Amino acid sequence: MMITKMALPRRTFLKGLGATVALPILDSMVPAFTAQAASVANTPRRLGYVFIPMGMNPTPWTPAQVGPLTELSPSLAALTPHLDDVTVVTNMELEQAHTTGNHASSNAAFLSCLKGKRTEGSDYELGTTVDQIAAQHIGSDTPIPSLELGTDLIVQVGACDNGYACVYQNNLSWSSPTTPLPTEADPRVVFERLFGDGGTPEQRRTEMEKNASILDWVLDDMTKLQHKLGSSDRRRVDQYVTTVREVERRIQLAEQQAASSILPDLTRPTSVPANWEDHVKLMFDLQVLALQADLTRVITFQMAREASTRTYPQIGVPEPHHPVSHHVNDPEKLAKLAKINAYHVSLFAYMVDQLKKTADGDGSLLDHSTFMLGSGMGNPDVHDHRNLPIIVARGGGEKRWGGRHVKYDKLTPLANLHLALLDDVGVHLDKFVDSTRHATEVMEPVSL
Amino acid sequence: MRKFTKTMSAIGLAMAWLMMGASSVTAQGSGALPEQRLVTRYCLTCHNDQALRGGLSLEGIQLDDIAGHAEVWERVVRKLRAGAMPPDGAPRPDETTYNGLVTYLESALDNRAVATADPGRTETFRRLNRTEYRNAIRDLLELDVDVAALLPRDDAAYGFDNVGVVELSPTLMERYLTAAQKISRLAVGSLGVVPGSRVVTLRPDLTQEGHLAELPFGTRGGATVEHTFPLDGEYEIEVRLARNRNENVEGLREPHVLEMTLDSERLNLFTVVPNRNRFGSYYADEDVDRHLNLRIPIAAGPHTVGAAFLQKNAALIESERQPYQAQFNQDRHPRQQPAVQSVSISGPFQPTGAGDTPSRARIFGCHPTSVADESDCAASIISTLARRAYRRPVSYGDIEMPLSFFERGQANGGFEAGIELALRALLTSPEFLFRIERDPEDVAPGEAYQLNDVELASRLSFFLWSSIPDDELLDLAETGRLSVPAVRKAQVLRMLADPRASTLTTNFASQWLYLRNLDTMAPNLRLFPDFDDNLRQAFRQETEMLFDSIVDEDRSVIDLIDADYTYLNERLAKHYGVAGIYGSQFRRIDLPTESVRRGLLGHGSILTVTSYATRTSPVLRGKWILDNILGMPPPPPPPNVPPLEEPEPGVAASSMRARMEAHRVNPACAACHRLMDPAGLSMENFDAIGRWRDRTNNWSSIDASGSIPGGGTFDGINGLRTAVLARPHVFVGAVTEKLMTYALGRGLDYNDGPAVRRIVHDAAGDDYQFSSLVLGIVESTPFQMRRSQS
Repeated sequence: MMITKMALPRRTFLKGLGATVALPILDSMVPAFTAQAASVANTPRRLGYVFIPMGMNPTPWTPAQVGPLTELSPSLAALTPHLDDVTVVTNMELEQAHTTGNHASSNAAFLSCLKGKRTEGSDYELGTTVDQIAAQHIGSDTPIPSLELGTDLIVQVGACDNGYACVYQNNLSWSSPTTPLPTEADPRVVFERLFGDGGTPEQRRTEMEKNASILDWVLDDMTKLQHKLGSSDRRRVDQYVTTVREVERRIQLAEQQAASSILPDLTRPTSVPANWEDHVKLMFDLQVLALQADLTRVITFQMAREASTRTYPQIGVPEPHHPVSHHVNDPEKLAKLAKINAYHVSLFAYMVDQLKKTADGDGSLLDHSTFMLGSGMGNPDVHDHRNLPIIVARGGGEKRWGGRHVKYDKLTPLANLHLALLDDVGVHLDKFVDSTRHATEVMEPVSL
Repeated sequence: MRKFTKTMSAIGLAMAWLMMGASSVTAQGSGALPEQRLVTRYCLTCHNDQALRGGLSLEGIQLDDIAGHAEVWERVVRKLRAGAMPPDGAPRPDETTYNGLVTYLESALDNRAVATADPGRTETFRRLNRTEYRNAIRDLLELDVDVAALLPRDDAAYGFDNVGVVELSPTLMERYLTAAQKISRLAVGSLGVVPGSRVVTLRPDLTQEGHLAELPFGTRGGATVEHTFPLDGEYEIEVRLARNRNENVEGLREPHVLEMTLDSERLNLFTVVPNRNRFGSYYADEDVDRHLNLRIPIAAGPHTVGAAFLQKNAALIESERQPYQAQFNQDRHPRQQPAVQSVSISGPFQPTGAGDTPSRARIFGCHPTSVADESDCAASIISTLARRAYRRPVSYGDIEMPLSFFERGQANGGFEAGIELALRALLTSPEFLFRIERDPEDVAPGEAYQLNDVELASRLSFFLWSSIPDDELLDLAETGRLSVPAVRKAQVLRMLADPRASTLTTNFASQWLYLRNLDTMAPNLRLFPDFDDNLRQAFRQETEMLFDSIVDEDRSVIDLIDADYTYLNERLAKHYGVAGIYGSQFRRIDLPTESVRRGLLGHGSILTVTSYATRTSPVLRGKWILDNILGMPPPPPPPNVPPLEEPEPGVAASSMRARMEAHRVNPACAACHRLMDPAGLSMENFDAIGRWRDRTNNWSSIDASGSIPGGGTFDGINGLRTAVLARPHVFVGAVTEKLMTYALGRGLDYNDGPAVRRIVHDAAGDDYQFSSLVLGIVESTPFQMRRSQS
């Protein structure tokens, strides 16, 4: 077979030694960072969102008990070792997600709680997502305000939802109502973004200075362009200028950090693991590294894309996820949907496990993190956005924080929980889109 | 150009006056137009304010004011031209009257377009997408880069990823900075390049039992990797073999010989010997491929590294008949012989110099002989690069800053380091990263204006090459000659003949036809045990070669539906049941009239990307036909109606049809599925990986009767093809719309209807030759002009 120059990079990048080679190396890096992280006197809090597509089969998902839990439901069983660190929340809804493009809106509304403007053009509009609101506050002290990650490398053609531009389905995070942030699925690219090419601090600083002066010039150029434009075009350039300023700011921060820290000798992941599970785990490993090194404090991760037709033969589901999700209450399909749910949860459990194992400040990384797993759909068969599957993982330090099932009697806006999670990392908003109150009950430690 | 606009509006005024005059006379004469009576009689029963069928009401919309409701009438014309309305069973006027109405509506709409000339407004700023960026770097610097590793993917809109690429996030800007740094180093051949490694892993489902295309004859399996070596120096090439679940080399039962090559010259032979004596069957082969590596000096520049096994006597290999041809999986159909898993290239170690590379030859148009020469030479290099990169003439103001970057780099690392830094700056400039179409200062808001030659040159090159203009095109544009129609036509034909036009296949057609999705297609192994990557690649190749032949030989686009030839290799021929084709090379073969493989609709690629992993989907296939072949996308499903449920594999085909028809009883579903399903059902003789079948898995026969909107009922794939061919303007209209969306980088709307009609109409005289469509688009108002900001 011919591998043409670089002409088919997607093909060559689809599979790789990545996982087997990279994982042990990543593991070996941990001690180098631990020392650095421990020296941080006031350990920062981190916030993460993990998205799964197409809802769940509610029966095996929902714990029978309400309130304190002694055991988890079948779909969540993989989280049992971390029972005390997870809270299951049921009966939340995304009211705005009911549209004619329900897969697009399931993804788009998850962190925005908004309906996107129905368009296939570049005049798309959503809203600033909660992760980005957090990033604006707690991300400004780190070189990378937020990371947006995924696992889908190839963008499908013709697979976006009726009349909704693909941006709604592909991007979870929006830094403004008109700025979707692209997700990255290639572990090597993520690694390079976190740790660069390596080299000595001096070399890295020189490179950053060069970039800073190039950006100065770019900014100059843009300002010149702006004078010759009409008002709406000028607004576009304004956005570009803001972008360039933001990058300049990041470079300054990184320069400061490069001056003080010594990077270990890192080996980059070489490509994307052929096996999807390995790929997901590697992406989680990179997230742990990024948090541990305090390169970022806010992460969003699309474990799979909405309306994904990925098959899971490794767990006995050779059929594609999307058709399975339209189960028409067929017991066989419901069982398969539950298997997919349980599988996704087990990968989330892997992440929780890694966070717990990683020392950070006076405790573990999990003690200083809040991670939410969820979907923008409840019952995927009818594209329903009520009773969403939601799990919050959070270390409690000395206290037992989780081990609970918070079940709302009435459908409750997901925005309420978003507000509570923002509170948890010290970002206080009065209201977010359709919120009715702050879901403080989810964040309260268990009183025994 | 201003003058042109004025003339246009003068004609427009005259036209408008004539039309007003004409219609008012008729209105006075008879009280209502005859066309109005037709609409009232045949359309209003369903399309009134109450019934609102298909979301359309024609009530109260008068035919003497077509221009005032152009959007509605464009929708109507689309359905009528295809014969899709009134629906089957509803009363319909005789053909002459019917066609008369369509012509009446079309002329009124076309006249309106002449009168008001709305060319649409492309984005002022459009970022180069990944493909365009990669091609621009190739044409600017003679350098092939792995763009997927440098830049994030682009989101598609209107089916193409060159539409709507306007946003610039901080993350993306960071990526552009990093990309510029890496590319400028590689292009200049900076000694600052740090050793790196690239691992090319073959797809695990690639069968490697036989000879693979592009590899030397007499070899089996393996891969060639084209790689740009950054510097003269030593590099390490390493090969790893595919392992099974026990971590043993799969298929290794006796010694095999592996050959490594560089630019087809043998570097070395390696013997791989099984080692099963240690402890049982696990991990016994741990070291058997450790020695498959070489460290050798390689000159900078692009080279081809190859690794493949020498073929053994073929008679020794167990040969199995289909469906057990695929061999890559330990449990179901294991490899009979060892296979290459990955080829990695690391280096440079001990680099000795920048060497002679095509990139350096392209960049360094001069070589300073003294320090005093350096500034002049740098200015000449930078202005040449800037002109190509910015796709326009450059002035001193444009290169002033890049020159100061040069000086800064020069001060720290000499002449070449200076050029490297200047290049890095150019590659970060918004004028390189964005295609900018700016309203001229003297144009009133909301007015149509003619693009200038330089803007047109970029529109042409990004349309036909997905890349920057070359010097010839830019020279003509800068000297104002591109606005001469004959010159422009000659350029279009030259560009279509250029190898760079292959992006029309790899970029346009692969998105239009969903070929891009092939890579993610993973048919269920248990149900389709003979699907492997070899077949996937063969699928792609067949369709790409067919499309290439239309472009290269300037054939009629109708041949896409009914070509009397296709391209096959042994793998694909066996899959299709075509006898007498041997070897891995593709060749053109003739197809008889009755062949089910004539044209795209019989291609394994299309049939597979419109199926699920376990079964066919008449819905997906039908929707694909409506969207891409007929240009009649079905309306979106109403909110909160689940997609039509389909039965599991194993359910009899007759009952699948029955279930689908039962679903169509639900009016909410019926609106779309009545259109989609019958088209897809006519392709049921092809299974989910495009094999012909007369019966389903459980031996029940297949009913492949179907229909398309306005095309009547028919049976099977050949019936579908005949129905599409019966109305060539419908298919050509769909192709033209797709091509035009891609050419303009924006979605089309009703204002573009007249331009599309005209292109299709004019191309009919040339038997719909590909070039006549392209020339039609290039000469059209939306391509030549733009509306200023209102």
